[in-house]
Amino acid sequence: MLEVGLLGLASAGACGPDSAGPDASCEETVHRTFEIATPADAPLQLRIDSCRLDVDACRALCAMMMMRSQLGSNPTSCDVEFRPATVAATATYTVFHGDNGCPIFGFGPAVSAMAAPRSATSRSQGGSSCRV
Amino acid sequence: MSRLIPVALVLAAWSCADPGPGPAPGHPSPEPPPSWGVPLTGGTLLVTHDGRHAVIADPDRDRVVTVDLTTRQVVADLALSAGDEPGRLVEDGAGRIHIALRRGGAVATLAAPTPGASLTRRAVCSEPRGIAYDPATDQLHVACSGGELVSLPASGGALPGGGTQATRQLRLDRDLRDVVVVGTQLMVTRFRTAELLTLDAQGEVIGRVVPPVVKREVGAGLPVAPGSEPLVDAVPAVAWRMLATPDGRLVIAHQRQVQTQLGMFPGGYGGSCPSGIVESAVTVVSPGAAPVAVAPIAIGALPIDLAISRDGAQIAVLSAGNHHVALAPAAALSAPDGNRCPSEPAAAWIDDQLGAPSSVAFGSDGALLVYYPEVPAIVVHSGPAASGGVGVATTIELPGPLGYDAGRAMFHAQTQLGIACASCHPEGRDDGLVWDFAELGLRRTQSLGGHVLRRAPYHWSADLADLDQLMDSVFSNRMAGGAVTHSERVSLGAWLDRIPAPVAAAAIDPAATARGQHLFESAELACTTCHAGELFTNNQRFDVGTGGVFKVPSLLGVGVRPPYLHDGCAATLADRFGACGGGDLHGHTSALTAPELADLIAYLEAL
Repeated sequence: MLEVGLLGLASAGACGPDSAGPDASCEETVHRTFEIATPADAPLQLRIDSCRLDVDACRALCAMMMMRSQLGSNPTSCDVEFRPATVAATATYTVFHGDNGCPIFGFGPAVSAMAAPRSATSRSQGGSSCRV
Repeated sequence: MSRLIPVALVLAAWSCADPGPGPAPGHPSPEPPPSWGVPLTGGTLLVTHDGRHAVIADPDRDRVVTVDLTTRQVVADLALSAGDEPGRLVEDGAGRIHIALRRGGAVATLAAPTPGASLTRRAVCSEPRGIAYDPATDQLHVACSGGELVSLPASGGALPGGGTQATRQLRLDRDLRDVVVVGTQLMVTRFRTAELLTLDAQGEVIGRVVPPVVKREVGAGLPVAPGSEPLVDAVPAVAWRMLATPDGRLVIAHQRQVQTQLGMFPGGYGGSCPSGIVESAVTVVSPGAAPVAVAPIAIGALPIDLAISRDGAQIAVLSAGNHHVALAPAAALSAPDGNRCPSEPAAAWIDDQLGAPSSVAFGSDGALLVYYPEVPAIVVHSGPAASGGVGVATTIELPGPLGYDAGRAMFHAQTQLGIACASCHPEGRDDGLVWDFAELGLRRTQSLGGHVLRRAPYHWSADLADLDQLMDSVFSNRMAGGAVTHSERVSLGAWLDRIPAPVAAAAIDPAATARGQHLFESAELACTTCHAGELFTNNQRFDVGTGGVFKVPSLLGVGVRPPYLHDGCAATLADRFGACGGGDLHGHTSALTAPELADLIAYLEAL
């Protein structure tokens, strides 16, 4: 029932200075779009419905999609578009690469965004002109 | 893949645009929806004796929903009056379902858990909380937060005008919670003190016990300074839920205050144990024996509900703070607490990913049902005992709108320190505890109930000008809760402001209350110089001889909020007029006679 489309976007298509590719800090900002058929399973549908009501709830939707794709659970932003039979959720997140002598940090533990304790690094999306 | 690329590019381009005042078509709303829902309280799910139906009291939507567990279909959805806030349920011998209406002040009776069954109601008290059925007398017993314990016939219908029809009404201590029938006795918990009262058949209180104090390590894993006490007390508090096991024991899910010193620095509310300064606890009371603290079954904030399987083989403890349900064999009820930091409990974890659960119950076949108020839905975990795990999960979605409120979710979500706002402010009020702050000394938790937005600035020192500052200082910083989102900031105050102050029970002596009001409002006593207006506070700071300059607290619901004053030095309202109350700097009361003081206290009790 759940269709997941994965797409890494060119950094130039996004806004903000933090959307560049691999840099000297050994980090890379990735945009990944998940296309979700609706109605989805209950946990996912809860996050879709919450996101529709409040943009600040969308982060949990992206976090769940990332977790299900084993990409960690800590998006820096989440852009969502609702369509008649699908929802497109684009998660932006940071990965650490091991090139050129960079240390490999990984993504941290794969925990549920809603079940886990609140992250000290969670951030508001409201009011930002660069996020949905 | 190629189909997605243009869409994603459009999204990226759109995201740089000004979002404007409203949601674009197909996009999330930029502002959160109106405030919704009530504080989580637990104990609102029941499986009927025959195992055929689940009955859900939905305090957020003011209705009672019945699910046929065979077909897994909703078969009845009965609306109550707005604001009734249905809570605990109990089934009587004739299959009627009785529901305590927490704010409706009544017991609603569902004639049967079937389609078309009638729903009647009988007034009982201002704030009914626990409800029990006594098959020997065919009576209901209702425990109320105002201190009333009301007994009434289970078979009674509605009286004209919704009258009480009580066969007995006792006046006990305030803040009553659950009631359980054990033979001819009634066992009644008090919410914040976690005290357990035993009443004989005549209604006399013949016993009082509290869950045991246990020890916890100071700075677990850290060196202990020479000469300092390596262990601190973890004292019982906030008894969320009490049930009886099939073999006659009582099981209480409650909290403990780990008595370490708190700091106002980042993470300053962290405890010495990973479970935090407020830990979840289970205490077992066997007939004729002292209460026993058992080893932790659930690790997570807000143990608001528990369930015991009908064969007594399984126990489930719900942690609303981390959205988990712990499922353990009954042997867990016999493993004593080892006075060590809780670590890995001997329990399986259920995490249905449906937000904070609020209630659990076992079916007749051993299935575990978990209610999720936000969706709303119940999830049936079939055969947990047989599978040795959490079983096969089936979600039954219930009718009703999504219950989304960023403020409510934030209030109940535990931070990485293992505590939630609701840990110290259960049900949006207070825990009745005094906390030791390294920088401030002792501070009694303040209640959030009763127009909190009109009571700024906050805290005893009034150092936090508004709720925004409080969220940043307390939640983000001291509780290590992370940055507060825009929606949480907008929603929390609106949600908290809807939580009422406790409602006082009817005055025992209305004449004394009236005399006390006259004294309170008199120019001679000058109480209303500071405790003025509808909220009984002018929101100013004064030195009234209690050891510093403190904000004038609201007196709404003051009778149910001992201990008193900023450091909790007065155990009772009478003590507030004693040695630590500030004398005549704090109201000119020294010349009052004993009867006058009693009248004044009677009035305060009625606020």
